Amino acid sequence: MRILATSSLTDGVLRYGDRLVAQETGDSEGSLRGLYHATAMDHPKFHKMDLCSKAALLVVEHPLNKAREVGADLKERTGLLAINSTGCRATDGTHWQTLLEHGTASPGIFVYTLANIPNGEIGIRHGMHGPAICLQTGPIRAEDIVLGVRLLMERHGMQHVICYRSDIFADRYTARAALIGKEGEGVLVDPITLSNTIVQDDPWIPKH
Amino acid sequence: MDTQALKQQLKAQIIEQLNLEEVKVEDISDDQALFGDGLGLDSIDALELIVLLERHYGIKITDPKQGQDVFKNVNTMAEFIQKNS
Repeated sequence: MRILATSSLTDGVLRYGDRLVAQETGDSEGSLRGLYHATAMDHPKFHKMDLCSKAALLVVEHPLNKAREVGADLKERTGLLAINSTGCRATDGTHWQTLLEHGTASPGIFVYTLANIPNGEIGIRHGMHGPAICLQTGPIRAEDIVLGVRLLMERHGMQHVICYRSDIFADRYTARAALIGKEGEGVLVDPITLSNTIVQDDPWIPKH
Repeated sequence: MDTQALKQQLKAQIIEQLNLEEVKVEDISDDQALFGDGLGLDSIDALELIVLLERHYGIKITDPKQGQDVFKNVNTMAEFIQKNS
């Protein structure tokens, strides 16, 4: 297994590999909106999403474009592995606030209280029908990520996996993604390289 | 409220409730389909429209078939509100 492409998005700074793609200032909502426009992503549904899904969608764009370049079968043979520490805490709060104010849930908010919703949003945008895993955890162990990628490849027959992390807490966010191929030119996958690529714990993320 | 004002209000409420950030009131015509090739709303948006009618106009829709007729476009929504509020 090899890492074929990486990307990162932290507090307004979007990088594809080491290349700075765009930088936006402002609060999370504003900077993610700015990055959406800076990357010329044409996906109006983006504005309906919660911050976790927005960050996820932005950060996987480059690995998925790379997947297309190398001829990956996005529809059937590319899996998704999502990881996050904070889940949908921010949206949970908004959901509860809505219930307090109106007495009824807002369907458009409620769906984003589901921690695995970014997988669905990515699948819809990119026409991916393959298996998807969502690992919601406190401290992230790179060994678990490797196991998840192996499961998708060895038991579900995936040739490629988009492995990504998207975390939102208070007004901070971080997202990282990698395209992992069964074969191809890139860095060999092991827990240390994956840890350096995906995990990179930010001190502001709660560990429990 | 006259029909035209109600339609304008509905368009603004749809945009706000559904977070249609790239859409303006003047972009929505009265007879434009809300779903499918029209405004491109999805099933979650349909539920939001049901909530919108209840919150802003006190009208409950319980029959999904009724929703299909009511949410065709802004004209049908306005007509339904005027008949039921």
